Amino acid sequence: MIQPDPIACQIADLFSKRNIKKKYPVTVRSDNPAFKRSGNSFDFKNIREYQVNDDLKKIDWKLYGRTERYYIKEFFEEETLPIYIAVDRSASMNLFASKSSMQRFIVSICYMLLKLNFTITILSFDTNIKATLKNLKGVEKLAEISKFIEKISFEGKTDILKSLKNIIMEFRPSILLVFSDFFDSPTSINKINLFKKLFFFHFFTPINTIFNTFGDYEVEDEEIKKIILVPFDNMAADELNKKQSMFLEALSEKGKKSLNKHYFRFTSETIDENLKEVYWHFLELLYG
Amino acid sequence: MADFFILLTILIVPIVILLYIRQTKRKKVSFSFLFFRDYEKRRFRQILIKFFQLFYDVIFDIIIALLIAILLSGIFGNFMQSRKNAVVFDGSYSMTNNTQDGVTVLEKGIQYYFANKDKFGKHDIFLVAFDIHKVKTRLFKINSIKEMQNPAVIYKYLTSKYFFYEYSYEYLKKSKLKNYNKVFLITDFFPYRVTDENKIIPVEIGQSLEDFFYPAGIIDDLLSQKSTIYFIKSPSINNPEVEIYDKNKKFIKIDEGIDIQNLSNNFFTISTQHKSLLKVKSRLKTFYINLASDPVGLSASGAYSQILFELLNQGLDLTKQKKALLERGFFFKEDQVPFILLVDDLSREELSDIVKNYNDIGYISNRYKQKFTRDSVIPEDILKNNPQIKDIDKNPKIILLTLFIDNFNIKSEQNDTLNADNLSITENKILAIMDPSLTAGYIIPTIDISKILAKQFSKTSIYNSLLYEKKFLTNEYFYPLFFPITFLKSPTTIIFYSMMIRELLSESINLNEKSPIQACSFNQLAENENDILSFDFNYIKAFETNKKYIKLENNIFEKVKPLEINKTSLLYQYGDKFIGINIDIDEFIHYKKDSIFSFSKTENTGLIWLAALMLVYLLKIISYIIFEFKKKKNKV
Repeated sequence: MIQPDPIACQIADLFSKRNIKKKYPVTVRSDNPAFKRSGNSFDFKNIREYQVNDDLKKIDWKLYGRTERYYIKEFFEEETLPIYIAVDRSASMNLFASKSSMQRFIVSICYMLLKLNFTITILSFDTNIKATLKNLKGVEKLAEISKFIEKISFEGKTDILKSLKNIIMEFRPSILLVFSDFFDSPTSINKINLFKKLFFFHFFTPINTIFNTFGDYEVEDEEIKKIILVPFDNMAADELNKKQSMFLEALSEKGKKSLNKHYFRFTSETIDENLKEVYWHFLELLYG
Repeated sequence: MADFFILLTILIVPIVILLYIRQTKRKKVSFSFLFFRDYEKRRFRQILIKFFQLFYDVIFDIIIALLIAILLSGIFGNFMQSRKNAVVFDGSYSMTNNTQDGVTVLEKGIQYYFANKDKFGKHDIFLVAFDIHKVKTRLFKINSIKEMQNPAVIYKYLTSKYFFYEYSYEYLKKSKLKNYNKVFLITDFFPYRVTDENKIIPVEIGQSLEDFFYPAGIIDDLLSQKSTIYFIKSPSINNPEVEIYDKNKKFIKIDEGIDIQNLSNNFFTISTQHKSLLKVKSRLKTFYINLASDPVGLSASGAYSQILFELLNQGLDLTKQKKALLERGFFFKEDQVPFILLVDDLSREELSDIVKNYNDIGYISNRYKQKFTRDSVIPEDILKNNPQIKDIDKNPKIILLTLFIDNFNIKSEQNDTLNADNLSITENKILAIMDPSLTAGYIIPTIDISKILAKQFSKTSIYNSLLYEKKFLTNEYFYPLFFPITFLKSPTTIIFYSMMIRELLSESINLNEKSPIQACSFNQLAENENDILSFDFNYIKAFETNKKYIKLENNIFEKVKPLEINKTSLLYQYGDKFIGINIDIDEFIHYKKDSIFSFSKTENTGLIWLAALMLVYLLKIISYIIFEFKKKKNKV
C-alpha cells in the first residue's frame, strides 16, 4: 500500500482545524442539482404526505395537529463537495523516472482531500475513461485508492482532450484534478484551454534527461510503438528545446489565465522537493 | 580496374569504421514523439534510413569515396603504368600475309621483338585485334609470349587464339595504352603522326607481296536503275566472281545482269540492276556489298589522307610511298589530280617544302610550285587577277582550299596538252570548292570560309560538304552535297569523288534536286535501328564520334549473329537485314615499320576535382574525430 506523505497528513490536519466558516462550503447546496438527495441537514426541501414505508419519526406532528393528516417534512442530504481525480495511464507516463514518488504524491493529495471531508471520485484514462472509483468518503478509503493507483499499468495512447470531455459530460465535476504528463498531440494540448475549474498536475520529463550527450539516438514512442532516428547535435538540441518551451508555455500560460485553473509541474528530480509548499498552495487554491 | 577497387576499399574502410562506431554508440531511448513529429515527417530521410539503415550522409561519404577512387585510380594508374612501355602487335589481317622472306609479317615482327626485347625496357605486350563476337576492336594482353621463343609457334598460337582481321586506330588511341610511357606498335602499317623523333626506332619488318582488290565506291544511276561499284585492285587480280543473295536465303553465282568492266590495270567496275546483297569474291578476298540499301552506299574508307599528310609533313623517302600509292590506284598524271592544297598555319618555308615534295610525286605542277617556293616569283597576272593570291603573298599563313579546276578533265576532247601548267587561277575558272576541313582532314585546322566566299569567289560553284553551315548557303551556285566524313577523308574516295565531278563537268549536268547522283546526308538518318541498317556499315562508322550512334550501333550488334566469316569480310544478319563488314582498306597499306605513337596528355582538370573531394572527405573525417572528442563535454 502506498503511504501518503507525512507532510501531507500534517497539512491536512492543520487545514481541518481552521475556522470552519472559512472552509469551502461543505453544507448542503440547494441550488446545486448534484445534491438533491434527501437527508438530515437543516435545509428544507419538501413536505409530502406520509407513505407506508416512511419512518414514523419523520412525521410532522405539528402539521398533524392542524390538519389531522400525516405529513412528512423532507430535508436535503448533508453532503461534502465531490472532487474528481483523473490519472493519466498512457504509456508515456512510464517516461517519468520516479514513479513511486508520483504515486505517493497522488495518494497524498487524495488523503488530504479525504481528511478534509471531501468526496472523491478517482478515475484513470488514456484515450477515454478506463476505470473509476466513485464517491469515496473518509480517510479509511485511502487503502482502496492506493490499491487503485498501484493497479494502474501505464500503456496505450493518450487522448487527453477526449477523455476530459467525457469526464465532464458524464460527471459534471465542479473540481477536477488531472495528473498527467500531457504528452499528447499539440492540438489537444492547445484545446485543454476550454476546460475550467481544473487542477493540472504535470509530471514532466524534459528532453535533456534523455538526450544528455550529442550523438545518434533511436527514439521509440511506446504509445505508438514506432522508432525514429534522431541525430542529436547542437541544431537538433536548439530545435527540440524550443519546442519543449513552447509546449510548457502552452500549458502553464493557460493555467494562469483562468482563475479556476491551476498548474503544478514536477519533474522526476523536483517531485520530492518543496512538497510542503505544493500541498499548502494546492489547498489554499482549493479553498479559494 | 584493380587499382580502382583497391582504392575504393581503402577509402571506404574509414567510413565503415565510423559507421560501426556510430552504430554501436547509438543510444536507444524512449520518448514521446511530441517533439519529434518533424523528424517523422522528414520522409526523404526516412526512406534513406529504411533502405540503408544508416544516415544519408553515409551515402554521401560513399559517393565521395567512389569519386576519389575513380580519380585516383586514373591518376595512380597513369603513374604506375607511365613507367612502363607497351609493345603492341598489330592484329590486322595483313599481318598474316607472307613477305618476301617466306615468313609472315607477324613472324617477322615477333623476330624483331625478341631481337630487341631489351631495348623496349620494362614493358607489357598487347595484341590489338578484332573481337568477332563483340564486333569491335579489342586489346589483348599477351605477356605470356615473353616466355616463348619460337616465332612460328607464337604465330600459330596467336592466330589460333585471336581473330586477325582489322582494328580501329581510334580505339587504340582511347585505350589504356595512353597510360604507358611509350607505345611501340609493331605493325606493317604506315607510321602515324611520328611526332617525337627521339622516341622512334624505325625498323623495317618486311613487305607483303599480296595482291589486293577492294571496293572504292558505288554510284546509283536512278535513270538506268543501275548501280556501279568501283573497285581498286592490283594488276594481277582477275575479274572476281559475283554472287547474289536470293530468295532462298543463299548466295547464288550469277552472270546475267552483272556487267564487269576493266577500266585499267588498277580499276574495274561492276554494274548491276540487282538490288540485293552482293558477294564479290576473288581468290584472295571476299566483300559484301549491299545494294538493297538506299541511298548510295560507299564502302571505301581509309587512311590515304593520313598518308598524304605524312608525306606532306614529314618529307620522308617518297619513292616507296609513291609506289604504294600507285599500287593502290592513285594516278599521278597531272591532269588527273584534281586538287591543289594551300595550307594555312604553315610558314612560307614549310609551304615551299610541301609543294616541293608534292611536286616530286607529281601532285602539283611546276607552275604552282613556283607560286610557293622562294626561288620563284608569282606571275603578275595571277596577282592581278586574284586578290586571294595577294593575300597569300602578304601573309603566307592564310588559306587552305581544295580547288577543282575545270580543265582537269581527263577525257578532254580538245587536246591532251591541257594541264595544270597552262592554268591560271581566275574567278571564272574555279568551279568547285570543297570544304578543306573535310577533304584534307588533318591538314586544315580552321578556315574563315565566309570571308573567302563573300569576296573572292562570288561566281564560283561550290560543292559543299557537311560541315558548312547554312549561313553560307546564300550563293546561287551553291550545291550542297553531303558525304560522311570517313568518305571524304579517304583519298580513294576523293578519287571516286573526283570521278563524279569529272563526269558532271564533262556532261555538263547541273547538280540539282533531280541529279542522278544522290546526295546522302547522315542528317537524314532516322533514329530507327532499321533505318540505320539500311545504310552500309561504313555509314555507321561515320558516327563513331557520336555517342548516340555508338549506343545505337552497340544495340544493333548485340542482336546480330555472324552469318559468314571470310578472311576479309564478315556478314552479320540482323532480322531481315544484313551487315557486311569488309576489311578496311587501311589494311592494304604495307609500310613495314614499327613505330611509336604518342598520345596527347589529357588535361588534368580531374586533379582539381580530386583535391576538392579529398578536402571534403578529410574534413568529414577530421570533423567527426573532433566531434567525438568534444562530445563528452557537450551537454545540452
